[in-house]
Amino acid sequence: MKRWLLVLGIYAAVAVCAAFGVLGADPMRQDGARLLEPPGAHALLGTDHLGRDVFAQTLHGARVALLVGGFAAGLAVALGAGLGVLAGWRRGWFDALAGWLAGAVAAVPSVLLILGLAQILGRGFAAVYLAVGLASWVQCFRIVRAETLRLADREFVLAARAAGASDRRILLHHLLPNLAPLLLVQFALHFVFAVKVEVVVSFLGLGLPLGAPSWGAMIGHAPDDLAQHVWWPLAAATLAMAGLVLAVHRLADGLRERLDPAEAPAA
Amino acid sequence: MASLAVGVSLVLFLVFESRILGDPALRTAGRRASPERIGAERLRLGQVSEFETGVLRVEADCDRELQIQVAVAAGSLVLQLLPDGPQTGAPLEGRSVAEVAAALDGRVLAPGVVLRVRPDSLAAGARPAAGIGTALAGTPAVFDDRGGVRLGWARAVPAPRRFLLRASRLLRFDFGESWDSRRPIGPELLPRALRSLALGLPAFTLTTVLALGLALLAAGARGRTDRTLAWLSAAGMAISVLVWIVVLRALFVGELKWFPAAWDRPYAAALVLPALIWVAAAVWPELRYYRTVVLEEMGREYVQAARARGLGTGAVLRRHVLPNVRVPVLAQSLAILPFLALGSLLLERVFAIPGLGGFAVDAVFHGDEPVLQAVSWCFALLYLASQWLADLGYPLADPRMRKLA
Amino acid sequence: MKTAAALVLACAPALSAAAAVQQPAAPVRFAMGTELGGFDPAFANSMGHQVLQRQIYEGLYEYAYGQPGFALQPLLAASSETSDDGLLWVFTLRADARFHDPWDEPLWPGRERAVRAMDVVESWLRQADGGLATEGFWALEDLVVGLDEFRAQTARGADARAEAWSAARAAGGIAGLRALDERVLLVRLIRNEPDFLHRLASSYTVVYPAEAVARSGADFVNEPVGSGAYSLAEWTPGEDATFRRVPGWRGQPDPFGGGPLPHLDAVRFTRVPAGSTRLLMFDRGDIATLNPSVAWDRLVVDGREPAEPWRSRGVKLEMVDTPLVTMLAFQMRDPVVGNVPGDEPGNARRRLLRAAIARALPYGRWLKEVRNSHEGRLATSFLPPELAEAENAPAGPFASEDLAEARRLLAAAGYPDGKGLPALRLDLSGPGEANRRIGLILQDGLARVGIRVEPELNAGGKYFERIREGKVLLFPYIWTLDWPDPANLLAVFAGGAANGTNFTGFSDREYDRLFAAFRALPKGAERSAAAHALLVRLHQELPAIPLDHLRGFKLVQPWLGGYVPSSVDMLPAKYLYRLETSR
Repeated sequence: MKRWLLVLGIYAAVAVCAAFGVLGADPMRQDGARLLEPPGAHALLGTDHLGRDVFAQTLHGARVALLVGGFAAGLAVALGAGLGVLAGWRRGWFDALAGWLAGAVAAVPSVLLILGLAQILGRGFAAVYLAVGLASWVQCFRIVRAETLRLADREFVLAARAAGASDRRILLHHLLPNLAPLLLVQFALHFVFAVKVEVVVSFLGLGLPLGAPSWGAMIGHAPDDLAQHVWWPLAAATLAMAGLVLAVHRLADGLRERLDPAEAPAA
Repeated sequence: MASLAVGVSLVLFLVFESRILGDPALRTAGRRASPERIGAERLRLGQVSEFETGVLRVEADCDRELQIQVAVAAGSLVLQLLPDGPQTGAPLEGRSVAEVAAALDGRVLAPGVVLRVRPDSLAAGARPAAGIGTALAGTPAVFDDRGGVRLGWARAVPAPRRFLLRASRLLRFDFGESWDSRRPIGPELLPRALRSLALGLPAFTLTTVLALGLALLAAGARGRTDRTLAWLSAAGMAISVLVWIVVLRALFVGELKWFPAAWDRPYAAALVLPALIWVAAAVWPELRYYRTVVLEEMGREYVQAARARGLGTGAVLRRHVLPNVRVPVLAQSLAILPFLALGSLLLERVFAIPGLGGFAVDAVFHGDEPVLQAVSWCFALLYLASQWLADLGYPLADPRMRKLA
Repeated sequence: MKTAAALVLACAPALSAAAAVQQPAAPVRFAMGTELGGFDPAFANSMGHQVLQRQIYEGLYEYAYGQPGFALQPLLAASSETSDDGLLWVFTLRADARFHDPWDEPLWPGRERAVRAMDVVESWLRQADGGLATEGFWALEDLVVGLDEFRAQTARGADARAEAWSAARAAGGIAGLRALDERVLLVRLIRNEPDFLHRLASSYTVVYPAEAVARSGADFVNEPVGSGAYSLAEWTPGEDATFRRVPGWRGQPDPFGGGPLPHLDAVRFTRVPAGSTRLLMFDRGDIATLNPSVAWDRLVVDGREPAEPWRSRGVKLEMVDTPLVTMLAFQMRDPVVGNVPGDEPGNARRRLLRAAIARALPYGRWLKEVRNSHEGRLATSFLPPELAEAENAPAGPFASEDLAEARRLLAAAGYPDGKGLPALRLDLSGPGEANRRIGLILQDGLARVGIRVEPELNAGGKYFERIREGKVLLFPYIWTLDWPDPANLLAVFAGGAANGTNFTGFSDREYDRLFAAFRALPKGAERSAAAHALLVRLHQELPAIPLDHLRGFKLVQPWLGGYVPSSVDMLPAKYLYRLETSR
């Protein structure tokens, strides 16, 4: 757990440093005289097809990945948890309606839905957050709803209700603290999904603004790169992304283990 | 649940109706489109039921550069001198083209500028002028004093009627033709779905078998093997699908030259590598899922009891765990079936497999509403069918449920 | 598990049936990045349509294969005569031209029927049919007597349309387009059009039998019947087409001295969307030619020869000059970069802004990184160099970078170092790698003088839609000349915005006056001079900045013979052959 928290911390630190220009200055600066240079003295991890420094791009990619993962997962969890808690608590028509909505979203393949939303919203950071968030909240909704249904019949909730606590109070003071670890796990899973799906969206030609230093753009360009034996942008972006995803995954597993020791994987 | 299928097609219709994706007639008419060509396109796309070119001719006469924009605002035909020049509008409600022409004829817009508007044909003169607005919607008709401009006339089809028309055709599985390629859509759906399935089914089956096998192995061995597999699965999941595709292809096609690079005869050979890549990318999350399922099953009392009776791990897994894992496996398989028919967007694109997924992606990019409607309609029906099958299938697969029944 | 196995089995027949079909001779295969459209000549607006249709359909003329320039040779026409004023044309069709119907339940016994003059009439009338939303009518618009009227009438509802058609059929045509007998066609033109015969070699004026359209209805797009050397044998709509030699085709002399055409038994076109996949296919020898993509900086050495190991394998690099011009265009109605009627001082400043941009563009990087060094020739004027009129054409204020001059012009325009100038949106035609690269390189280049550019990739057809609506401000635009005449290009800047092709919205009285004078002249020195006067005007006003003239640029397998990259013709497979040295 602690190890992975440390890894995540390093990524965050790199992202913050990159954001303030301390690390990897100007990752998008093109140099027409230095195209596709392999890793070496001039550029630690080589340059890409426009002469941009791969190392600087990789560092800044951490910032973009944390932004995309954070905002998209935040939106998905907020939406899924909000609707899930309300559906599980209110039940009745609201539950039916939210269930129908979730069914409709689940009935469209998520990548196709994301592409469609991205097409509608245009290119940009906000568009990617929204598209990924709006297309991926269903899983969180279903789990939170089921958990809320379970908790709602538990003694401490019944007791609070008997004591005359308002709905709002029960939701905030009794349900939410019990749901928090679950939400954290969901956030981690959605984070991973968002970071990974950005690659796909980028490869298919939509997504972040042109010139944003994203791992997705680096990997998306890899088919053409590898065709001429240029492996370094792919390798750098893949390793950087794998480290982040692994860390978040293991943290989620650790959390889950604490929630329910029987269900978590070993190690 | 059937409301779901209709709901999805209504949402699609509204998205296109909102023009967020632009005006399809302007897009499909292409770069050489004249206003007349755009009108014909609106006719083809069903936006209007009638279209005629050049019912009204507008000419200006002046002694200097002049640009006038013809637009329709709030039920009026507006002729505006650019930029920010004086406007002149004629109310369209209940008036005919001839009356509008008469109202505008010779009106002075600016010093030295004379505007002349006249109907081009007598037949056109009797038509309501609102039709000009319909023809102009989204088609800027800017003109100058050299040529004048001929305005078209069209009768719009109201949106609710268009939706009902489309929905009733969907119900009859009449999908019409693609806006983009103009080919009939219906005959292309099944062959494409079958090609997607030809990749998806074997790949998915192999993934499931492998994941289940590894999960049983991990659960049976526990300890080090389990930890190694858990690590592998976490690492495998941390790598993007695209990386799996690109790297394995570079290795097996580029370097070793073992497999063809694209869809070709014999198709089975062309599908081997995409299927293997599918397995390599998809087996890790499945392994994780099945490991949890198997462990849960092994924690149950009857399994513990069997163990207490002295049954070996292998026998326990074979006799007790495996039969009971069938339910989640079946559930997973049925849930994924419709998605298999839609294929893997990335694999289809990279290996040039002419499946349904690539078809849908192209339609998203081209804003091809009929294709999206057709694909989502069929997909929704398939999705419903798979859920229905799952409800039917559970009692058959689960001995406990069977006993209850 | 049984369920899964059953599902696999259910799928197996589809696979084995496909595998069982044996090929008599492996077709020569070509890969294309775009979707393969369909086979209706009324809808042939993309390369994906035109390459396919070229194999099946024939027009009255075709471009003389392998010859430089734009020489024509008769195809379905056996001979033609024209009046002195060039308004009256009489074509006699070949006696041995026959349609071939490869489909089940053929239209004619023996699957064949002679091509008749009435087929030409009906094919062109169908292109003009106002009820069809056809894509190629512009090639005949405002040219043939009575054809525009026919179009207007057919656009007037189902009854009027049926009436127009039956009248035309009964009369053997319309006033300016008439079948005099089985093989003689009369065409009467509205004006003398120097490029009339070139229009008859285009995809839009090919000839096909009306029976086939009637039989297939909406499916005609999948079931073509033509008179060409090949017929469609297998067709996966949009994705894959295999053509086989028509048995007993009339034959045609080989321009390279071989036996009668065609040489190949079968050719195949496959859509392969990913460029990297096409590269792997070429490397394996699966496909005959490869367009080096913008993303492959290392496959062609100095733009002259293929990189290793292809060079030692004998892979050839074929280049051909193409009559087109890539421009960076402005929206001339835009108040930031264009003209505002009546605001002369402002217009002068904006003219300086456009000139500043013309001097700041990164021409060197454009050529090297977007065009792989030799895939384009920097444009010194709007006219592609292979046009006769391009000789001694005046050079414009572009084609070389001059950052100091650009800064000076920018300051004179009121934006010293770009201060006060809003970020200019650069609209690109799609999300592909080439467009990404163009966007980023132009952005980087203009940033050197302080001009900020925001590239926007428009997926699907949004780009053209936005241009049509006048919503773009700065955009690269390629104009491919349909026939080798400067008028074809210069016309797009003429006539204000009334016509659909004026993509910049440029409206200039002086230019229009010059254009009208130019258009009336017959070919010759005087016409060249008039074209140069138009160029001078364009260079002053700069509604667009010419960037380069693209070259056709192809890598060709050593075993493919007869391949001459053509700048105007769409890969007519009948001329190709396989060299004896096997792969």
